[in-house]
Amino acid sequence: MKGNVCKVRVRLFGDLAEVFQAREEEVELERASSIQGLLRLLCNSYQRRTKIFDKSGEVRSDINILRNGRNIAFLNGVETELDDGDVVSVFPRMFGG
Amino acid sequence: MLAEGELERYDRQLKLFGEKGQRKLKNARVFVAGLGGLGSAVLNYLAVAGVGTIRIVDHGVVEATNLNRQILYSEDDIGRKKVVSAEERLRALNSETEVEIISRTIDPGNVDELVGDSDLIVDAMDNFPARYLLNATALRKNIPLFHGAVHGFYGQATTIVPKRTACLRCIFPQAPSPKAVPVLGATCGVVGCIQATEVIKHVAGVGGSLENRLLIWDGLNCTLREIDVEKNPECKDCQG
Repeated sequence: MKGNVCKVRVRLFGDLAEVFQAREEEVELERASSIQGLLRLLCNSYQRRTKIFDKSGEVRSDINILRNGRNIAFLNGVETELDDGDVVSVFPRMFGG
Repeated sequence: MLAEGELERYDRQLKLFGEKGQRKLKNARVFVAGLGGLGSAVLNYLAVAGVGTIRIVDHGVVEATNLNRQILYSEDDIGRKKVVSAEERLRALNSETEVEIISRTIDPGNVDELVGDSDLIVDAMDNFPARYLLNATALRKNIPLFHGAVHGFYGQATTIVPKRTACLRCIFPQAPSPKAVPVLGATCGVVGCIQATEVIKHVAGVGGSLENRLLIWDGLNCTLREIDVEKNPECKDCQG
């Protein structure tokens, strides 16, 4: 980590990879940024925003987010802070059988 | 000992895990919840692999909209109970496989009894409330759960071993809103075959498994990727 920035690796799965036109990317953030900050940075178009956030600005119920293999629901939700080297996996919840 | 007919029938896979592995499959009791697209793929391959006893549970009736992906059924089965048609199909594939059928909806009050003394559970359901019931039951009975789910061209699978791996609720703490999802039949085939492979390896005692790994199939781009997952100490089902 250099100065006040950290780098995290974002992995996108399912149709999110299509919408974000990337399966994986390294993102540079300010130190102590949260998942929320990361998502806001990534969602730089209407299509991307509506893919991740609902009308009230919450992460949609069909989106699953893990930080280093742990669901952020068990951490601090979208307020979960990110450290240098973290891996954030974002994927849609599938339930069909 | 395997009979001569069994040695011939399973010749191609005996080379993979030997007579000992085949006997384990013969003695296995597998519980498959859900007779939809995933259940169809899983069951075909478990039966032909020589799993001894398969208990299948589904309350549904075959409908025309099932036929794009549920390869246990044909047009003549429309209107029939899925468990009845599935039993016929599986017995036709392998008359040595004991098929136990239960045409009921899985609920909190019956899930323990339905799973009974099965050695493992295959999650081929189409909704998360039922999947959570199977997850909790697998944890309570200390038996593995083989999870699969699909959406369109995409699918996912993981293998849950109580005390050793993240459970389903560790990975998916909240159920998504239920709705009818688009599904390509071949997606169910890919994911169901992964689940069947996981079951067969687990029973026969060979290879590695999808423990603490969520496999994601992307049929649109024909890629398989995985996500490492961890137990969550705050998980209300397994407590990490």
